[in-house]
Amino acid sequence: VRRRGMDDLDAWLKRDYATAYRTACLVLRDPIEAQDAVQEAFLRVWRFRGSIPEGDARKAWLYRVVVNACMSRLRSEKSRTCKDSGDLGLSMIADSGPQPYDAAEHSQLAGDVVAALADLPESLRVPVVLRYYVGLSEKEIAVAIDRRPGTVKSRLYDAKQRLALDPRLSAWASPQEMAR
Amino acid sequence: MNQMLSDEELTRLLGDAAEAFPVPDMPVYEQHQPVRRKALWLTAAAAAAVVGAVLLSNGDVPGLTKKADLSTASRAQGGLNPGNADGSTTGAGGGTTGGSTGTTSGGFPGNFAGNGGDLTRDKVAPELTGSAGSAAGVASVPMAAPPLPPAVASAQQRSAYQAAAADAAAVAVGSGTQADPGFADGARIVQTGSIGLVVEKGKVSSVTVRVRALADGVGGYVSDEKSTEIGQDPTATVTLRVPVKVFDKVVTAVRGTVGQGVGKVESSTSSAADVTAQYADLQAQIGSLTAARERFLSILAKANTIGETLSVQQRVDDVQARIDRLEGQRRVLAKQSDLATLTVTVSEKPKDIKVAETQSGLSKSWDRATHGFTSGVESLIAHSGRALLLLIVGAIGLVILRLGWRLARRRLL
Repeated sequence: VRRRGMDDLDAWLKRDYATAYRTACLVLRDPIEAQDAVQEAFLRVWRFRGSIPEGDARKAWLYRVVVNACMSRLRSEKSRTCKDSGDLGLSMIADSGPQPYDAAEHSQLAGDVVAALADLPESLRVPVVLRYYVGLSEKEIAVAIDRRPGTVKSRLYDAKQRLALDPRLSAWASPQEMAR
Repeated sequence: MNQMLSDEELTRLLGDAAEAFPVPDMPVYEQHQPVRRKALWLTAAAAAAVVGAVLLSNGDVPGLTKKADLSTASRAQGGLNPGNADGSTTGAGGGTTGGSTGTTSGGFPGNFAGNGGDLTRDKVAPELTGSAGSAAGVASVPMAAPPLPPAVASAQQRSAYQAAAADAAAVAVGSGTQADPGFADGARIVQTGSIGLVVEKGKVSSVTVRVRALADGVGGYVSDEKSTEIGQDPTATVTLRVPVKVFDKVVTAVRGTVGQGVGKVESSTSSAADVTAQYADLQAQIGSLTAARERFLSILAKANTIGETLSVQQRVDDVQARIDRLEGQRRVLAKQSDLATLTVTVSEKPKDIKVAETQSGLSKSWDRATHGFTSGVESLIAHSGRALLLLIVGAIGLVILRLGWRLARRRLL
């Protein structure tokens, strides 16, 4: 039974690895830091596997660990130095891996979105990423960031207002959206 | 607000942006390459430790180690030649018995029997009184005195130091185990003791120097020293760490530093605790845990998934932490049992207090009378100020009354 439980946990972590990694990228803006953060988070998950909740709460719990690992990195001196040294993460987006045919446009979009997110304070950036990239509900985000759902709601509203005013995102909005 | 991004639009933008970050492979096997290298290192280190433990358990190798230590200690001491030791190892540390604790006032467990007659009170005494030259028994031993420490400056201290160094050399030769902290039978004894010396005026410094030199001469050292040489009660407290096997001899030599009018031993305590079983238990536990760690490491080398690797690695870490903790305890115990602790307190003899002589009845009465007279005079003088003030105030009052009366009488008339 224990072996089966370990296999399930292994499979679950593998399944969510890509999303967790990209979440960390959007929060930290640095793929290397993000990779380290996710690895650290997954190690924590494995170490405290006995306290993983069952059911739907499991996903919120996982992202709580991931967000905590990201916040630890953000607080560290290394992260600050990395940010000050320029958009290392953005340069790595274009340099790494095989690029699709519209690689330049894709990189530009990513750069603009990440830069717009970077202008948000962490208290707003994290809920936005968890809501609109990971797809967590407000209640799940409340669990992930250890705040009340009402707080999450107001932060999301505030973040959306700020992003709407960002010209870098407006340029990438669809025409229907612009018309609206 | 001119426009507001919809949830769908934000989801699309963030999704597209996130897609731009290529996802690296989940670190399962590659991540643990360093762990494997670490495992190899740990395996090699453990193998070396096991080989070392096996060699240490053999009787021959410790002898080599002791000789190496002895020669190192001798070089550090500047000339105590181990080759001059007579090789006798019997009788050393005879006074140390497991778990014994005692206080002695006159004699001490250690004695000079079997020392070849080199160190006796009669031969040490001339040195203690500051006479030139070495005692005959000590001088016959072809050993050089250890170098003088910087603190030994005066000629008197220098001669005292050299004499004590010779004493120490004799102690080392007599025991036949100079600077040899180990025990042939593997016994581990934690030995501690204290001696209180009371010396004549001005002798605290010289006796302290001799005590320090004793530790230097037997391969020990002074671990702590506190001295107060200025004031009415100069004292010095010196804590010596000396090899356990020569502990009794050092105690005897320290007691010998206050013979022949220099002073006397005021108190002396010693205690010994046999920690052989505790030490052996620690060694056994370390050996057992080392073997367990080896087994876990071999399992770790075969792990394929992250779950297996982390689980086994956790076990390895736990075992390694326990090994480190026990190894620390073993080192502390080994250090305590290699070197005994002797605290020597040197203080000056307190000055004699003069007792008042008893007086006869007549002289006592005379003394009382003179004392009463002087006291009365002192009292008069002391109160004269107040009386004078009252007289002045009274005189002024009388004058005022008189003047007032005259004035009133004129008006009435």
